[in-house]
Amino acid sequence: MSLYEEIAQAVANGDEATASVVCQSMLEAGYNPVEIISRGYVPGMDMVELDYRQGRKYIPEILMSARVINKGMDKIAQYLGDRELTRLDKVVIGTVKGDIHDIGKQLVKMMLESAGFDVLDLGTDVSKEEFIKGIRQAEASVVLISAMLTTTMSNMKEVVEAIRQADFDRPVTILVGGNPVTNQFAREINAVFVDSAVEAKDTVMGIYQNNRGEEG
Amino acid sequence: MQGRIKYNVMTPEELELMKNRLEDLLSIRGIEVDHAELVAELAAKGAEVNGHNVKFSKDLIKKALSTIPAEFTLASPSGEFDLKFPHPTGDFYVRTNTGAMNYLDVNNDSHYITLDEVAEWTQLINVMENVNYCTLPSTSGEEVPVEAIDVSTLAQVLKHSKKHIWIQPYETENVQHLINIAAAAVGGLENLQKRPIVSFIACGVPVLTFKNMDAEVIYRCAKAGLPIQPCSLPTGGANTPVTAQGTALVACAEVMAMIIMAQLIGPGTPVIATTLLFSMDMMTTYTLQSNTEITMGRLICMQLFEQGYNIRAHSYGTGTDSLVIDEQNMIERTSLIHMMAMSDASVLGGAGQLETAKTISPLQLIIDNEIFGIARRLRRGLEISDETLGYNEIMNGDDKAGFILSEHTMRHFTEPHRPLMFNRDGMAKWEQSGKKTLLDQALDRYRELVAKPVKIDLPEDKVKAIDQALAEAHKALIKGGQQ
Repeated sequence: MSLYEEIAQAVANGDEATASVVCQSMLEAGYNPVEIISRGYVPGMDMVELDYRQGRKYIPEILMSARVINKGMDKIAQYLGDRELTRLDKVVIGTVKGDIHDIGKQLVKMMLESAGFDVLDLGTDVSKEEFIKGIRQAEASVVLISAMLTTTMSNMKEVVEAIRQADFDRPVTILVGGNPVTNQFAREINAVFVDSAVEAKDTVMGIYQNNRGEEG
Repeated sequence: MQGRIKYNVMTPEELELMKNRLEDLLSIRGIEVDHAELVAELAAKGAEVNGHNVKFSKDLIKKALSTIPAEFTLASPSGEFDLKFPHPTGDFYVRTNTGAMNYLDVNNDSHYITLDEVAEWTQLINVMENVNYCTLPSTSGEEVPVEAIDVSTLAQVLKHSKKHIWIQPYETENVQHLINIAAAAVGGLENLQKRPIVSFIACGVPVLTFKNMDAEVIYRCAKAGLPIQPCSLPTGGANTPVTAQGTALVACAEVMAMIIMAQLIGPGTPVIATTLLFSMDMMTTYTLQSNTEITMGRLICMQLFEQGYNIRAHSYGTGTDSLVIDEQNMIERTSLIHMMAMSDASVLGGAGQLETAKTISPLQLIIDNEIFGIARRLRRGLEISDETLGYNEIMNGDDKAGFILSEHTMRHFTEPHRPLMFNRDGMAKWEQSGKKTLLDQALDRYRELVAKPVKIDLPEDKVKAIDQALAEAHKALIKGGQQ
C-alpha cells in the first residue's frame, strides 16, 4: 500500500491519528502537499461516500471522515508557504431568524468544507439583512438556509424574497432545508430543496461545476 | 380499577438516578433563557442568575414543585368535555396532532391546510369518542398572512370546537394576542382563568435553551394562571445523546425547567409535562418519530414524571414515519399506541397525523379514534376475582350447554371491546356488503359525519368578540397593515 493509499484508507476509516502521522511524514519527506490531498484525502472521501450511497456506512462515519480531511487540510496549509490552498468556492450558510437549531446546519457545513468549499457560517437566528450582508462579504454564488420549525418557515420565505430582491453582481442560488421544509414549499418560495447534508454537498458541487463549465 | 397495567421501564434505582441527574443538570449546568423580565423575576425568586444562565438549587426545585396543583381541569368550550387531571378513573386523554401544515384529504390530495379544512377537522374532533381535545394545525401563509397564522387558526377553531384547545404560538408578540382571542371567546380573561378552554405550548431547544418566544409563553401564562403543557422535542443523535435514555434525560430536564419557571412566576399554574422525543436516522439524517428505542425513551419520561414527581405527563401516543396510510403506518402507530397506553401517561398525542407529524388526515383521525378505543380497553386491564373467573359456574359444572345462556354470560357479555369499523363477519357477508376494508369504512364514516357537521353553538356576541380580538391582532402583527 502506498502512502497515498494509507491516507485514503485512514480517511475511509475515520482514523485521524493515522492520517495525521502519515501526512506529517509525507510533508517532511517533501511530497507535494497538493498531491497528498488529491491522491490521498480525496480518494479516501470518495470511498466513504460510495459506501454511504450503497448503504454500508452511516452519517456519523461520513462526518468522522470529513473531520479527518478538514484536519489534514489544516496541517497541509502550514506547508504551503506563500501558496494558498485551492478552495473550490465560497458559500454562505445560516439558520433563519427565530430559529436557533444548529445541528443540521453544522452537518452541511462539515460536508461542504470536506469537499473543498469555503463556508461562511452566519450561525443561527440570522436576519435577512445578515444573510444579504454575508453573501456580499463572501462574494458567494450559493447560500444555504435552514429552518427546523414549522413556526420559522415563514421567515425562510422572507429571507428568500429579500435575497431575490437584493442586488448582487452575480446570480445567487438559494438552497433550503430542514425538518419541516418540503420540495413543494421550496418551489413555492423560489428556492432549491435539499433534504440531506450529502445532497446539499452534491447540489453545491453541481452548481460549482456548472458555473465553471460556463466560465470555461 | 383503571390503569392497572403499567410498563415500568425503569427499576426504582434507575428512576432515582434519573431524578438525581435531572436535578444535577438544572442546579449545576443550569439553563439559558432569552427573556430579561422572566430572568429578573427568577432571580428575585431565588434562582442563581448569570446573564442568560439560570440555575435552580435543589431546595428551590423542591419549593417550586410543591406549588403544582394536585388537581386541575382543562375546560372545554361547550362544557361537555372538561378534562379533569388526574383522570378520575386512571384513563388517559387523547389529543390531535399539532403543527402539521399539510392536509391529506379523502381524495388522496395533500396540500396546505385551509381555514375551511381547519373547520372540518375541528368538527370531526367534536364527534370522535376517543379524542378529548384538539390542537391547532398550521394553516398556510398563502391563505392567511404569515405573521398571523396562529391567531387566525385559533379564531377559526374557537368558532367550531366543543373541546379544549392546545395552542402553539408562532411569534413572541403573538402570545398576548392569542390569550386575548381565547379570552374573547369566553367573555374576558377572568372567565378564561376560571375555565381555561385553552392551554399553551412552550418548547425548549435542546440542550436546555429557551428562546424568547417560549419564555414569553411561560411568563405570560404563569402570570395569567393559564395552563401550560411545556414541551421538549429533542432529536436523539442530533441535538441530544444518541441513546434514548440520554434523550429522555434532556427532554425531562427541559420540561422540568419550564415547570419550575412557571411555578416560581405563577405558583399553582396547571402544568402537564410534555416530552415529545424523536431520533435521527443515522443513514438518512431524517427525524424519526417511530424508532423503537425512542418509544421506550418516552416510557422513561412518563414514568419519571408520573411516578417520580407525581406530575401529569404527556407524550406521543400515535404517529408514523410513513408518508401515506399504508401497512408501515398502521404497524407503527398501533405498536406505539399500545406501548404508550401501558405507560403512566395522562395524555397521548398525535391523533390523525402522518409523515412524522407534518401531515394530518381526516381518515387517519377516524381510524386512530378506533385504535385508541382498543388502547383504552387495554389500559383498564383485567381484574381477577371469582366473579370475573366465572369460578362458581365452572365449579358447579353448569357448562353442559356451553356458556352462551349462562347467568355469568348475561352479566358480562357486553364488556368485550368491539371496534365500530372492524370486520366481524365471515367472507360471504363481507363480499355481499361490498368487500369493505377499514379505509372504506373510515371513508363511509367521514362522509356521514361531514354531512351533519357538529360545532359549538357560540353566541353571536362571542363570535363578534373573537373577530374583534382577531382584527386587533392582525392590525398589530401584520406588516404593512394588511388584514
